[in-house]
Amino acid sequence: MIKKGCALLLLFALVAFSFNPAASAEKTLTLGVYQEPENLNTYIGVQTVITYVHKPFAEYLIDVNEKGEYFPVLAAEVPSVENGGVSKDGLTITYKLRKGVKWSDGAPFTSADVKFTWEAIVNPKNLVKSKSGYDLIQAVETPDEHTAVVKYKEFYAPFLTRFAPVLPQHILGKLDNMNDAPYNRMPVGTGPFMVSEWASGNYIAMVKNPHYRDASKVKIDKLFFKFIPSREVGIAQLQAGDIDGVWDLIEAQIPMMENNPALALDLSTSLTSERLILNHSIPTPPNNGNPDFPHPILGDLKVRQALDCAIDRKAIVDKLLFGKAQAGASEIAHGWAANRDLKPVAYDPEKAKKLLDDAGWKPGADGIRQKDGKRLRLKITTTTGNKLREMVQQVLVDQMKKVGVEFYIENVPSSVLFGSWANDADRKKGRYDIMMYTTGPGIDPHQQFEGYFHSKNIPTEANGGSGYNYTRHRDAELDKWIDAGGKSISMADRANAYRMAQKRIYEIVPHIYLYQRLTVHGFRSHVKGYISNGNGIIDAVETWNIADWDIQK
Amino acid sequence: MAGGRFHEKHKNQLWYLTLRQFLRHRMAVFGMLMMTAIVFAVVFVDQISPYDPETPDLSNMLAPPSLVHPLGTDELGRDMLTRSLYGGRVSLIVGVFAMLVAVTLGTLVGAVAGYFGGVVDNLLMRFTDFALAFPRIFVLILFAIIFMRPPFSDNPLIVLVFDALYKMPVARVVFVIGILGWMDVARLVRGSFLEIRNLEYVESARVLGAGTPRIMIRHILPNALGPIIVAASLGVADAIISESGLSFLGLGIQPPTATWGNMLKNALDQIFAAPWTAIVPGFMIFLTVLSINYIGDGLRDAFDPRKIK
Amino acid sequence: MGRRPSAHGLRMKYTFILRRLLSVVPVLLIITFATFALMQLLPGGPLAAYENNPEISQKDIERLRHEMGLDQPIHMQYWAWLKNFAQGDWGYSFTTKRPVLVEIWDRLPNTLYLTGISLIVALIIAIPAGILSATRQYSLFDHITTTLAYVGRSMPVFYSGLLLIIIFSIWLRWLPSGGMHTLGKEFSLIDSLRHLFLPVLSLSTLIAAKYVRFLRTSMLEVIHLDYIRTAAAKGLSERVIIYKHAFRNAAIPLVTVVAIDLPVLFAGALFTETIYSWPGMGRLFVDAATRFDYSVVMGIVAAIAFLVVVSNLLADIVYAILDPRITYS
Repeated sequence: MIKKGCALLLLFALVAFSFNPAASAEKTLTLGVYQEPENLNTYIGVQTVITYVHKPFAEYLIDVNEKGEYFPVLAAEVPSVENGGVSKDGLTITYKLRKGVKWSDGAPFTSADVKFTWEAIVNPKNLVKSKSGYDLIQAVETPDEHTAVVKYKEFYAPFLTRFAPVLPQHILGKLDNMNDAPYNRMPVGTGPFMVSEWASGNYIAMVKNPHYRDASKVKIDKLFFKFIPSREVGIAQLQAGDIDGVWDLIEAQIPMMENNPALALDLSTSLTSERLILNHSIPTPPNNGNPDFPHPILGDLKVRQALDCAIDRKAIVDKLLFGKAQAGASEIAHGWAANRDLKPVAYDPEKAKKLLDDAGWKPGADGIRQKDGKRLRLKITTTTGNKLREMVQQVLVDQMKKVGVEFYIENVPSSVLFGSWANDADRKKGRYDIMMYTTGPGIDPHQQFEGYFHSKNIPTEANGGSGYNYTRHRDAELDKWIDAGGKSISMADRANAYRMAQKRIYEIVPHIYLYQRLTVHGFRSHVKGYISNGNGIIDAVETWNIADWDIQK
Repeated sequence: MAGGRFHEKHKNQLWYLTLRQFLRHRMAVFGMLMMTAIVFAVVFVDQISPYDPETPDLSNMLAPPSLVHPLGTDELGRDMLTRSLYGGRVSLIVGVFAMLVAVTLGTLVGAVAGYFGGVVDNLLMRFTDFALAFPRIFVLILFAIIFMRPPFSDNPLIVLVFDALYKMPVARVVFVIGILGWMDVARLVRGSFLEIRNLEYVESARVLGAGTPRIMIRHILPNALGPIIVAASLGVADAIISESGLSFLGLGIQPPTATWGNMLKNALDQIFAAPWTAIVPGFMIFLTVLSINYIGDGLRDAFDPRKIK
Repeated sequence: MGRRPSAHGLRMKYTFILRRLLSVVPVLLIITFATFALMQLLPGGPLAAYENNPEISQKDIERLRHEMGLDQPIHMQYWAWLKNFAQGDWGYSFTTKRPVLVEIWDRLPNTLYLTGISLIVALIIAIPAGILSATRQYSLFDHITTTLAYVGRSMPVFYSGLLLIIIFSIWLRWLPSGGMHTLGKEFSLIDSLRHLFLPVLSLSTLIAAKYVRFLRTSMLEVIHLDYIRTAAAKGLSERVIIYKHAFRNAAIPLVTVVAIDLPVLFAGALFTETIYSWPGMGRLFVDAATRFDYSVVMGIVAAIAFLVVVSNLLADIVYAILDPRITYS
């Protein structure tokens, strides 16, 4: 019995350790993702990973390239006032569609698909996550197969970002609703690849789309999105050569990959920035979150400015982000609406001390400042389980101590931090001092500015807790520039309005920008052709130009 | 152990025999020495180490082991040895207190079931059996997430409990591990109580008019102490593993408070660049659990009446 | 062994088995309700993921809450769930929108495959090691085995799994670090076994350590029993004594131990699956819990409760059939 057991074990070991089967001639690319997508329908699913996985098959009317410029995909050109695509009042948008495009099942792509996309989104039976923009559309007219005319009831500034992606009418149009449609797991698209298999908990497989307009150009034969439990495991598998690329690493993982010649790193500066969000209203009940009752410490602009210049951003970027990130200065880091005159606030502990002195906070016996017997003690909260944020927090605690401010850390799971008004979340109800997390504008910044910075978007009982103005600041000048940005049809006027809004934010310090987030992707060196893109219509994802990727061993 | 007087007279001798038996168990003694060393280092770390466990030293990040930092430094340049000893404080405290919660609960359940027998016993043990049969980690994860949130109720009692557990992560982990770890103790205590409750000396105490609680606490419990102590010691090891497991999934005690579990989790993404940051806390967990297991088994043998010769 | 139970004893046996079968129903009811009640206390809720998205308005969130039935009273939600559950409709995952039963069904075989093979490997390791260790008590082999058993018991599976990956996948590059097979290649037995090796090694050593310890102790007890000594005195060879008498008697309680330790196996599987990206139920649970996907978590808990209850039941029945000494009270 014992011998038999040993023999079996030995056999098992022998077989297990024997060599890899020879590689096949097909070009197979395996990308690791640490989340399994809920589905592949971005109108229903909320995760960024969906965007990453859907890019190979789903296409938009208009997309955005690595320079932050719009370019036509399923549309033949980007509509503008100049080329007649946008009417003078901005309410009618005419899309000329690309000709000869086919869905991966061979059916032709037409203007009916564009019209259907709008209908599907506003269909009350569909559990669509957001209808914004689409609910302002009055009608989509289809004068011919290659023209779609979208008529808005009122001007919608980010109109170029709609219809991303276009849904296949011939597949989904027959259904009562698309909530459980087979399309959500086995979609039909117009992109270079098509989904061939989804093995739950394991991988999504794609093959070349034979009906793609440039099918001969596509070099990869098979594409796998493999689900891995975490980024750490992803790096382990990448180093072991089990996968060819990992999606969405974090900045702290850069150095361990940099030293390995078999790996290549792909870094790009995203539009999102890590920031501190400072509560202007009193955090304690019963008036928590009411902007009429200012925060006993942070309600004072001088204190907010002092915190801003007590932060050594360079040390954080150099040491914790290996010098790869950009220190944060304003809401929009790059692109057409960025305000390049604004520079990151300089590290100046002496100035911070003076500002605090002026504000009446004097050093106490233990070095922490006091005013009227109250300590300058602030809670800093972020999401649990994010190591880089935890590291930055601990460095901030140390930097604040040097100017006599006491930060203490209390972190909560992201679902608690980002909970709803109904769930009594601290963020929505204003029961916090300082929050640290990442957010940022999309390629069109309007929703971000209006949501986070307009005084009408302070969450209250009256508005059901909607809105993202968590700092609860009210500033008439800022409101004015945000409104201007949403109303003008001229892109130049809009850009100016957002620049002024950024300047105003810089002055009143509701948010303290720490650094621009990097998107970090790791590849095995034989993967070629990817181009970093920090911009995206839905999310900035690496797979935006996957048709051009190749494997060269 | 026939009569009360015999029992009293031989009590000291029994303890002596138990101790002698324990000291014969070589690995148990080894475990005891290791644990003493670990506890000593963990308690006096602020006297021994020149480093602060929390202040970052950005000029010294991820330094490999050297004379200055015998076990290297972590991702914020803090001394690994110092930090793992401070982390040990929390891990050991969680282990001991979670065990206390578990043993208290378990003794209560077991004593009631064993002493009263019948329907009560049947009900309690059915529940215990089921709780034992269920993979605990699934419930542990569930509880850890539930209590990670602020109160969401108007009931003042719920608000009080939730608020306390939400604000004090260490208490939360102790509570969650504790209330899910009582089953083994309950079984053991029930067994002892069943056995002892009908012994002559208990009967005579009853005849002499002693009340039920008094009999349970004064007369039976001391004689059921052996198995409780064994279960308690192994319970500490169990709780330490549970804490690190929860932390490994990111649901335990959160940084900046260091525990062996969250230090290990923290080390995951630098395991190639700085393997010592993973090996040190992992090894501390392993060593502690190993020592406690040896001690527990030594105690089990020592309390086993068949082995006392 | 050997004494045939009387007709009365047999009837008692069947009544016992039937009663054990019936006791399963209330247990399952209680579990499902308890889990459901607990899930209601969870933070965030299934719509938490939408809350941080400026694209999604509060109105949209309220609309989704209503459409998903999340605004109904808790007991109504439970009752609706239970009624459907009994009919095999385990609800839909909030995130993937797929039937829960399908989600679990996709994963369960992988977990059973991993745990089943680990269990077999653990027994293949533990049985000979336990027997040898007991028969050669205090030998070098015994010392090594007991020490290794202690190490196996004291090493958290997430630590040992990590060390194995570093050694075998990164340093030696002998074995893949995760997954069930190499993607994009034809299925091959060898490839599949290579992927199986490390997870099975982690998981089986974890439980083998327990089995070795148990088997050694119970073998030692049996060896010292009178009839073994008698057998030895009768001049039977050591082999016959050990395998025919001692091991068979020690193996019966092992059945129970394997059943009792099933939770350890499932808990170990949760970590093993997480570390080796094994597409099993444990990982599905961790994912669903962090996404607050109520129906999937409920389904998994119910499925595991079912598995545990059934396997304990089977162990009891097997034990009752094997061992004539048991009383059915």
